[in-house]
Amino acid sequence: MLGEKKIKKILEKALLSSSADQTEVLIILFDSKLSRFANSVIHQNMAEYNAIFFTRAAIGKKVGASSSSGFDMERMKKTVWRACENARQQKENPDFFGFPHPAPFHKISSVDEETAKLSPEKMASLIKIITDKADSAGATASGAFWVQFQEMAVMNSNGIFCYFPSTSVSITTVITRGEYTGYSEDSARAVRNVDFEAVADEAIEASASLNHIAEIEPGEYTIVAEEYAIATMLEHLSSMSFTATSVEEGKSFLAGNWGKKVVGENISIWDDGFDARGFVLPFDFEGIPKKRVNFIRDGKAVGVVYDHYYASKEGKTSTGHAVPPNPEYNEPLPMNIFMNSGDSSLEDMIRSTERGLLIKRFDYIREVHPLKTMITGMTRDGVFLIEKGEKVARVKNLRFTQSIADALSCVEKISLGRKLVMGRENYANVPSSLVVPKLKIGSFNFTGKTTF
Amino acid sequence: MKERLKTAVDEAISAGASYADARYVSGKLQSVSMRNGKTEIVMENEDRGFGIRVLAKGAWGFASTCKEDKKSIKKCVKDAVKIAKASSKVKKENVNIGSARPVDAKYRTHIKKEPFDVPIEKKIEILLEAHQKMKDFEKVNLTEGEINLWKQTTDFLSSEGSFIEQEIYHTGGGVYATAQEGMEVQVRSYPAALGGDYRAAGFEFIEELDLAGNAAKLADEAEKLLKAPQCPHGETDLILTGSQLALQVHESCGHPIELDRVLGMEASYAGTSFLTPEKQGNFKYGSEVVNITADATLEGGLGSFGYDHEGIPAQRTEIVKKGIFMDYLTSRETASKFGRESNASMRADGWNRIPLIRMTNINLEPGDWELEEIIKDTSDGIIMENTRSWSIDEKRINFQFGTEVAYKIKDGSIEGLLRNPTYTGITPEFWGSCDAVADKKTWRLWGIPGCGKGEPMQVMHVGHGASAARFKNTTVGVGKWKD
Repeated sequence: MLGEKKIKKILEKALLSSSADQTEVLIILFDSKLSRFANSVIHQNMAEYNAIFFTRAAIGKKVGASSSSGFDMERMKKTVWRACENARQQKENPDFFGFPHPAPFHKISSVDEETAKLSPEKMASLIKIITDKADSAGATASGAFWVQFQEMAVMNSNGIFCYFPSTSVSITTVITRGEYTGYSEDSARAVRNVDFEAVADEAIEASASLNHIAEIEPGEYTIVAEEYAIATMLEHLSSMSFTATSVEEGKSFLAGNWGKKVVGENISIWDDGFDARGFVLPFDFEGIPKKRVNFIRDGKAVGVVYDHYYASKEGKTSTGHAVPPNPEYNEPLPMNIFMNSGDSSLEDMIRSTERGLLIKRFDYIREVHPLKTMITGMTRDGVFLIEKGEKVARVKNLRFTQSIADALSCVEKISLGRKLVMGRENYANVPSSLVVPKLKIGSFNFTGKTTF
Repeated sequence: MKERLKTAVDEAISAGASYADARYVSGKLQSVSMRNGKTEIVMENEDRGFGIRVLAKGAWGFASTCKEDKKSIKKCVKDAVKIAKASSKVKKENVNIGSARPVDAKYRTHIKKEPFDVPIEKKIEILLEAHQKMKDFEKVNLTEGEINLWKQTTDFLSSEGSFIEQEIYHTGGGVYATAQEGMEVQVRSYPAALGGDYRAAGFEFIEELDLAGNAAKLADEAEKLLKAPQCPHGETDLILTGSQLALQVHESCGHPIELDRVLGMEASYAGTSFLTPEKQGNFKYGSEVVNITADATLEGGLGSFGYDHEGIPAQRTEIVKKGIFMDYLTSRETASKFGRESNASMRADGWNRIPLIRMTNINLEPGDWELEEIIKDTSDGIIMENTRSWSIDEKRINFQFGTEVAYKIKDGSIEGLLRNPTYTGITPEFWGSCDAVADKKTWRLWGIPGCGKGEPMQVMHVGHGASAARFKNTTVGVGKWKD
């Protein structure tokens, strides 16, 4: 760990080397380990020590950006110089109103020392908990165990300096029993808060065949969707609809419906970087403190996330959702998504279902039409037929083509408990997260099926 | 750098590794993008570092560092061996990578115009010119464009005595028009969706694309699509063209032939494959007109190189021959399981990642028909162009694609536009229904710079050659569409 003082000195030196009117420097240092296992064997085992340095330089209203790996000063100064040169060759952007100014924020550290020092041997022994349980169940285990220690800091020529150190842990596993698979995952800031035995047990249970396989046809079904499925669906909804960019581009179904009902009134969805039930992130990649943003409250469209650029364009204040300068995702994005809980349970949802499907997770979702929030994807790693309130048979995986807004308009039950699920997207190795419940959805449109 | 790599590899062997290979990779990316006439992004990235892969006690370990001093590299080597020894605590048998002939070689992409020497102002000018051609269409609320350049230099050295230096350039871009009215949003892209088209080439490729010259047509069609009839649901003859067909090959052939997927090594994330080993040489993947190759030797392909990241020379492999599934993409480890040699499909996207089996250039070989003949021969069908959405199951069997545009064909003539077109199918049934493949005249080597695989995620640049092809009785118009 370099520490706040050392990192501040490094960034100050880099900033001072700039010839621009305004400059921003961002650094993300990390020590990241990932052990992958397949067929109950550790087959890929990796460690990465890296620092990603970003800079933006503004000369009047001309903005250039640059990034590099490593934190030797010569390389960083060259990166700053390149950003300035890019700015010089740029055209003026009339919508650019400068980089942000400092705002007070609550200093947080999310470092767990044991996690930061976790050895490869210890990681292997934790994986062995899962592979041994799989072996005992006559199954094999695949998965990934990720541990990271990270320091993130932002500084700009307007006086911003923010620093945040953290550790992150994530374990995912797919258990394979013959033709059938089951999935489970867990994430936390500290390895002691991850229950490897429970992860193995859950995935093993989801890989059960129940000794009865049912062939069902595509169509509309009531579904009981577990947290992994809901999290994936919400991630797609948030990038399609919950950003200032998607509103500006006419792609968000919230636009033009502010204050109006857009989904069921039992649904609320928001982003909160300070809520410790998720992966806390106190400020964004421009150094603006995170604000809680309500996207949907009691079914009504409320708001979207902004970075400083989009907020300035509209005469608003940034909500603290900038991502690192990157050609691939040049827009503000939510990173800490929450959905409300209810008062139901998995058992209650199953018991109350006359005929439906219990779904572990969704896979390979893609957006078919953003304004209609229509997505397509597959079920994966655990689909069961529910009849007369009981889980009665395993079902082959199905394809769905469904409007998310329509699905969220017919939610019949919401679980009391919620689960922290790591987001599929991370930004310069900074993880995103969702905290979501299980949902019983009255109608979900399955348009195809596969052979397994 | 050769000496430093040799020192690292020797240190790994001294520390107990039975095999080691080290890479020093230096990558440069330049991206210029335009949105509604403003160049919001002008960005450059330089990324370099060192990574070492070792086999110790019969298992793999990998460590990488952005620090280039001797002490840091030494620590990195020690970490890799330590990690390998930890991996050996959860193994069933020793990893076998067979043997490989040591190579001392260099490779460089052939370019005519150094893309990084072209001033940024020139790139901005091209994109702004495209915007000018699109902006006056009333319903077009978003014009976009991008030009992206990559250059990657890799020095590879193995404990078997190979030393290979490679310098690879990838260049490309695209322009896009989005029109919106009420609850309808339509997009048209050129030369392809999902970032445009890319080639292993210099800036001459951008000039050939003529982005500005093709922009007005996009905006016009995006507007027209707003009022076009919805693609109907049903079974029909489907013609897929160029970049959409390239992505179909990518998803339903390129991925399931990755032997690591077949062997369960990607089960936890991307998935497995329906092309299980007993199918090799006898499984009917498609009709007799379907011939698919993997070829890393093709000039200009994003999947072209001199040597893969295990030091194996680039080669051409027949994947599907007259519809029969013939072969996989392999690595040294996976090929050894079948007593074979690797066919050079291992690549890592940077210094901080291990090589994985990746597509090279996976090509649907041209057929005998002219595209115009296929259209004329179709009495009732749809032709679909440019990907808008794509999804496939984890074994690569059930898929669904959406495209930007479709055209109705009636009695051999194109009648009109259809909006929100989608189609779905089961891979071997779909390719089994292919009855016509267009010839060399419309065959093009497309570049897809965004193929994701692995944990941590790696994004690889891959190529796909395709012309156009017809598929009989395909289900189109999937889902419930409300106006």
